[in-house]
Amino acid sequence: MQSFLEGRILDAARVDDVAQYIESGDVECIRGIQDGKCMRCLNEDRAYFYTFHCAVCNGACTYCRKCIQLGRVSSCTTLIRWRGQRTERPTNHTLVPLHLSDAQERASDELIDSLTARRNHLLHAVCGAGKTEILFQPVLHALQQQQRVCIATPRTDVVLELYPRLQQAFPNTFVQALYGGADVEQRFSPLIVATTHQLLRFEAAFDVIIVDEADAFPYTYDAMLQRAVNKAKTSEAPVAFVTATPSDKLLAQCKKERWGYSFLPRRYHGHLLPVPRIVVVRRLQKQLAQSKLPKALHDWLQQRLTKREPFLLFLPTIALIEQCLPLIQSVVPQVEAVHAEDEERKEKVLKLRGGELQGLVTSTILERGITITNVQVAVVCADDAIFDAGALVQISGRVGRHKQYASGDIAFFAESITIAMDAAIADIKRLNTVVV
Amino acid sequence: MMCLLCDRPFQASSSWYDVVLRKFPPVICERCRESFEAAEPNDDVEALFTYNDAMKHYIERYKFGKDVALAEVFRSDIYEALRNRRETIVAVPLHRERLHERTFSQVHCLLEAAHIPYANILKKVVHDQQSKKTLAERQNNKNRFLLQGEICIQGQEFIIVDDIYTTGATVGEIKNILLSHGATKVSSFVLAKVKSNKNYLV
Repeated sequence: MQSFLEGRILDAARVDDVAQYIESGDVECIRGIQDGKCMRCLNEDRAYFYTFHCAVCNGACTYCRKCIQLGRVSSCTTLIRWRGQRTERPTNHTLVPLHLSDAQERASDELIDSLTARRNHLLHAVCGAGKTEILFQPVLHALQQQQRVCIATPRTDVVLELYPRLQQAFPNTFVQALYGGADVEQRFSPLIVATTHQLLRFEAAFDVIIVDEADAFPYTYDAMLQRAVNKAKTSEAPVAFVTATPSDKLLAQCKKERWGYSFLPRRYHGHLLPVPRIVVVRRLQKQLAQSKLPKALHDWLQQRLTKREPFLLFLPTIALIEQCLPLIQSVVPQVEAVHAEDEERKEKVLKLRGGELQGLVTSTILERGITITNVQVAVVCADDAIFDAGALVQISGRVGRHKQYASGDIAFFAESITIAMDAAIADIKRLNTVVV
Repeated sequence: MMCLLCDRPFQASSSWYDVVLRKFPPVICERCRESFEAAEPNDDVEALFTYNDAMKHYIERYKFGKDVALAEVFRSDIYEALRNRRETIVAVPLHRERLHERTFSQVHCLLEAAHIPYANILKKVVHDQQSKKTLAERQNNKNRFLLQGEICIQGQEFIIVDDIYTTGATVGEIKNILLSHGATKVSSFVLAKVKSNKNYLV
């Protein structure tokens, strides 16, 4: 238990036997809210604090709404930090043999250099470049130096995907997966894969933090993510950002602060990225609103049926998904819908992968991370504001990931051509022209 | 202005009606607003909404997540429904231990946020939790509440307010107490009512 508490900052009320640790002095207590600042997430924005009459402190009590999903922290909450002995870190870590392409090997070495030099690093690799495998050797390197590593990612889906892969790659290491609702074993783990929210449970705990899909955060969380990362790592710990679509801000920071930079414009199989094509459909929205399937879309679906190719069809809103699903099913019956609040999301993706379903109609929830061999993709109403350039690049990245099906159709159906659509296509074309 | 539920920025509409006549500016966005379903009229209880998924999540965050700020989400609806009632409004209370555990009483905060005055004439003497009970257990509820204070019940009319109505066991118990002390009319009002064909109780 004591080793579990190391590096963590938790609500005393949720820790068993906390009294004995307080008495022994191994644990330090701090009030949850101090001087207008939440001591768990470091929020200082008054708009996210709420004051009410609390029955426990029998007076005005303030709590932080920013990090409330992790459990409410209020003026009467006591947070505890471990101040006792540091756990002896394990040393017997091993990594299973990997098969990396030259480009992956090079990026892996570059990352190790940055970590050794305590320098931040940006791993800019296109969808399907094999980013996860690139991380393994640098992680091993850190673990062997008895460092504590955390891989943070915005979504629980990704944590659940990475966890078994890490366990397999590092058979002698106790890997821990942290996400809302997870069963957490009360044991010290030197390698943690967690959702970024979970980082708030730590303070000065990690010697290396790897932020996966750094660009996948909604704008309002940008600042909170930075605070969470900075708080969870030790002051000199380097941060590695992994993404296929770095924001201008991230690239600027990388250049200005002289981070390490690895660039992989090619997929692990070396083939070029499929370039999206635009299909202009006049009165697209009106047709869909009248429950009419535009001919171009009908033909596209028909082709998928004839060629027996699995497909993903993206739509901007849940309402449109529900409206269009029957229209699509009239052409291809083996199709289901998936969206963010769908609890059967994982199962449906598995069904598509296994061939039980021919297609999925989905929202941007499936824009990244998902791999289906020979999948073809259509983005309907690609001119909707929700499809920014990054999203379109990520969606296009679903196609052609397997070396035998390295090309595939990625079509943007829209009434007009937006700047985002142009930018996404330009980005992909540019990546394809980089000399490797 | 950030939506209290989804934390997305939203513009509160500003028509003349809103500025002059509406008492409370909205705290949630249109999208979140539309996720709630109005209740169907029924004879047992006056309910604002039906207990759908959105309401279930709201109650989880507000009551169990202890996000007191969310008391404001439905303040306009509660205000419009309960203002200018001639009956005395009474909120279903929490047991003192539950109040200590939760730090606030969810029903009282809903009424306070809506600026609806109420009378504190009830106290809960049994420390149990309705949401954890089966149907059979709920039908066997007895003597969980007592009257307190000096208010006169005889000849008065009351509205009992609670957050969720599932079987009506809770408001039923309180109704009986009030009637047995001479109340001439007792009705109930809840934020959300569970659809009767849904099986939340096995």
